[in-house]
Amino acid sequence: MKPLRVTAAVLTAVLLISACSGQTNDAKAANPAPTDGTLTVGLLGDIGQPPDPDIYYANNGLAIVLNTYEGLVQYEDNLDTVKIAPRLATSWEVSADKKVYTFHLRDGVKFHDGTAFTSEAVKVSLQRRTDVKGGAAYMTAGVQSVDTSDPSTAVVTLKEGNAAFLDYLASPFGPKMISPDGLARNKGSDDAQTYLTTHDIGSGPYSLSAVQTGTKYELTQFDGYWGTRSPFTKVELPVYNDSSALELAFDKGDVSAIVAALPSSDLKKYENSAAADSYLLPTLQSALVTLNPSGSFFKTAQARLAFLQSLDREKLIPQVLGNRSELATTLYAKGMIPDGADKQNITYNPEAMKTYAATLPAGSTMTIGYATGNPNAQQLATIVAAQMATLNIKATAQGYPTAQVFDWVNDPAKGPDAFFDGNNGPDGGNPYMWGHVFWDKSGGINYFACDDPSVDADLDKAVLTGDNALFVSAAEKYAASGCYLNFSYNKDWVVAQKWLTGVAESHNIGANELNFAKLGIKG
Amino acid sequence: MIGFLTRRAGAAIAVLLVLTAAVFVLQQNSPGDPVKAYLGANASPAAVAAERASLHLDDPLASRYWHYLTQALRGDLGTSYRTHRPVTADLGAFLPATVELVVVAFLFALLLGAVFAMLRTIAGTFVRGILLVGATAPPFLLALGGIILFYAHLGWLPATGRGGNDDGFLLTHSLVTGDWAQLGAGLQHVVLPALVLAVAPAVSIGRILRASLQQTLGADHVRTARAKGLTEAAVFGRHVLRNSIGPGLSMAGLQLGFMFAGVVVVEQIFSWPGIGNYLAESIPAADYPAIAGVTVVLGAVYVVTNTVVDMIQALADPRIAL
Amino acid sequence: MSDAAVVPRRFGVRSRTPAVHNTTLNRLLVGLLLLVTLIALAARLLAPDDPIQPAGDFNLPPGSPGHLLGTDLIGRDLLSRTLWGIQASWLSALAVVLVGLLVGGLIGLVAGASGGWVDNVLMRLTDLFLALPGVLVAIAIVAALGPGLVHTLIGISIVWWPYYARIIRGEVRALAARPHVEAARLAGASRGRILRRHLLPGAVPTAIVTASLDIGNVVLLLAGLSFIGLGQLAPAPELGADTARALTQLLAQWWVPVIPGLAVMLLSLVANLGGDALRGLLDGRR
Repeated sequence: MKPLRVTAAVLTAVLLISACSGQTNDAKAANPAPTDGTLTVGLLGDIGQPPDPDIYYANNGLAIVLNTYEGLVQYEDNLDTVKIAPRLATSWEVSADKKVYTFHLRDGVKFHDGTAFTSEAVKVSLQRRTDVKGGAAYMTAGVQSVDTSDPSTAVVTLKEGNAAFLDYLASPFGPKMISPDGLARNKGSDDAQTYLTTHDIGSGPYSLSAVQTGTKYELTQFDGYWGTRSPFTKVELPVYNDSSALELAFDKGDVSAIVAALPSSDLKKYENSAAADSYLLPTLQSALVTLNPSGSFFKTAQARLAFLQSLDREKLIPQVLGNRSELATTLYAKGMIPDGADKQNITYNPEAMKTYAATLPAGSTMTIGYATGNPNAQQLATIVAAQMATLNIKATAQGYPTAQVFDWVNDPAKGPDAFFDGNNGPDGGNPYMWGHVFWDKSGGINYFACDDPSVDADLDKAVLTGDNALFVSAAEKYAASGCYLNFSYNKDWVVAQKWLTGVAESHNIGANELNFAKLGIKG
Repeated sequence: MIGFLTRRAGAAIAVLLVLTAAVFVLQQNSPGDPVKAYLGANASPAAVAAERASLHLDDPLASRYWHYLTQALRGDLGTSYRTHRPVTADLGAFLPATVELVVVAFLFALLLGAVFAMLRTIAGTFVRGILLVGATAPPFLLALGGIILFYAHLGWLPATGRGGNDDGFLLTHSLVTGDWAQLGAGLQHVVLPALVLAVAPAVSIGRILRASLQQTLGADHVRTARAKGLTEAAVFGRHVLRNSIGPGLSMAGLQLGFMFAGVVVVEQIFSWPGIGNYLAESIPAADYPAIAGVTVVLGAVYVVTNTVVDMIQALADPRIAL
Repeated sequence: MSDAAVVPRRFGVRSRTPAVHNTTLNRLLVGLLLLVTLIALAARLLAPDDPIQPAGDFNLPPGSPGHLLGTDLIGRDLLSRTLWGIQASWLSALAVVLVGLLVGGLIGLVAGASGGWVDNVLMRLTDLFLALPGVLVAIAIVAALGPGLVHTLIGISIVWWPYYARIIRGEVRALAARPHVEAARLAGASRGRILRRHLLPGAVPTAIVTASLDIGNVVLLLAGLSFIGLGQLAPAPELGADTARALTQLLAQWWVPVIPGLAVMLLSLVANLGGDALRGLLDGRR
């Protein structure tokens, strides 16, 4: 047994030393470009839901939906403000009452099953969105009729005016055009949902050629695509369930690009790397803090505002989020309201919280929640929990799985006192899409149902006409409740091999994903 | 024998009933709204209500459980909230990967366990040292350490996936059809996760086997056999090994059961498309049909393994009657 | 007992005697078990800094001035955190093993000593619990009681005792068949007396050795459960949770997950070697 113990001791030491020396591969040379026309984009975790555009409502697999399907419009690529650009519609007119939207459709567009794109496809696709009742079915709920008398013009009439409708269509989660013939052929008993789990009948630059749920997704270039094509005839999207494994695969050159999947603690490594390119691209996403008025801790707006003021964002953001984020100065997403008129008036002032803490009984407890699997939110929550201890408040930081987070609204008292959202955002660029989800009682991301009915009414009124002044006053009213803090504006972080070009040009503020058709190989 | 099998079948049914009932009670009491998680933040209350109704989520617990059991008898384990596919289809897709991983890992564990127990050269000491250290490391750290060493630094082994486009019994299938290239790729992919999974069980098996060998070596009948002038190999093979293998076998059976739980961590790090990964993704999504399905499968596997181990033990050691 | 040399060296298994010769080393290793327990209890005195409050800059590497093992993601001293983590992990594991030993031991003892239908019923019950996938039961308990280290420990304890019940029952059955127990029974000793005088003392060494070997397993299980999000809540320290939560930093700041991970290994190794040594000492005395 003696030599065994010695061996064990030696091995432990070797392990320690090799762990220490495992860090010296930063100065590695750049990896070579692929010669077989295959682009490999690593996914962190499975896409989770079928890549059906009327069902898929998550971020991870959005690249698959957005490269196989196209909408009528999209957000302008490579731009950090909200601007709607043509896609399958080349131009459009909106009636003054925001009720009638007329789209002039692109010529020569074919779906992957060979069907030509006409106004009929617009009608069928919008109807399917409503019928399938997925998470983003609200976008077409207001559609009254689609006039298809001219195959190259689609006239969409809404039940009532909606200034956000174009943003619904431009949203990455918005309605996408699906081949009406293909849908009819594979209708089954569920509007072709089964078929679209493993196939696609969109018009995008790529078609879905293989699905291995949990392992790999594969896209093949569509020969009949109307737009420009990239040198990549095949795109593979392998699933990695661990971020370190994904990172090692990238460093070795087995993965060409990673979109928004690596932890911020790696930011410095890639920003200073000579072997890879690191891109920070604009989005509508933010880190957010939500406070729970139903718990014992934050019953009053005064207490909530005191807590929000105690967060030293100027120090926390660079430390935790790095260059990926900047201090948020507005209540909506960056650039949503012209000139930043929706100013957020929360500045660092720890005194108010000290005063409030002094009024509390000794040993008061506070729970600070974060979404499981978001290291940034976890870190923020942990730091703030530690800071609370200096005020004699016993705070814990706790991770919650998604299903639980969305359940709080049914009984807010079950939720934590505060919730740190590492990254969240609206479906699209209209202020209504932000205000509604975060502040409206029925919005969905108003986790603790902290509600002001007059704010809801203002938002509902503003969306009919797109009245920015009304949007601003609603935001200011809600901010006074202290339930909500726009913590920081976040960017998308893309890490790509040196040979990959067109990364910034293939990304837009809404999508948080790359348009693979616009990527290229250097030289 | 038939009585034994009947008893075990009865036990299996009891275990499965307890497990599924536990999952249903858990589902009733646990926080988390699967429909909201699935439909997303912006889903309208009407869409949520419709989905809840279509999933029978608002029915009383007992009626839902009864419905589940009767459907399960017909081979229908419900539809996953997350993947929108039948749970049986998901299990059919993910179980083969886990089975192959666990079988390979189990073979490794037996082999390494035997080495741990018997080999007494310098190499044996070295292997024992590695195993002992490996078995004491948190499995996720060991797995990542393995990837860093064998994939990133040495480039000997792939880090993730199974190395093929076939979702089913990749290794078995390529072996049967004689697709040697595929078999090679598959084996290359399975080595690292299987080793990580095998290390701790190997030490447990090896330790028990070693203790039991030591005990037998000191026993009277072994001295007698040696005194009779039998060769060392004959003494060891016929008298020592046969009489000491029992405790090792029963530990091996126990460890096989543990391995099916260990896959939750190992599959995640190695992105192995098995039921461990499926379970890990289903838990945060509150996807109870999927959780119940995995539980049923794991419970069944556990009972079957124990039964088989008991039978093998009875075959190996005539003193044990079933 | 001197036939160790006769045993074929090729197969490399010696009979048990050599353990006796290593008494000093064994005592030393068992001493390690006690030392770790002492460190766990004295974490408060040994740790230079508060384990929860940041004490320096973020992610300082080991060897930084004032922080021997460096600092973590939010600037807490890793040495202090690891010491407190040893306290949480080691004492938790001790608690689970102790509960398993008491509950399982009692059931095993009663089943083994009684035999007949009592044995049958108790062992069926034990088998039922053994067949439950432990991880899932722990998840169920945590879901029902709410997250936290104590709830996780309750969950583990529920699936932990059956192993002890099985082992102790087996040992008791074997002891009951031994000649001296048989003789006591024939001499008319009462069932209680046989249990107290012969079966219990005979089963205690096995139980203690199994338990000490088992501490490492519980430490590792806690780490595994932390990996899937159960266990100690942040910001309180626990080795497994600290390792699992910092795993995303493995490539950028390796020391943050590796140091608590090595502490897990150390605890597990000490439990293993200490358990083996304890077995050696007890066997030597027998």
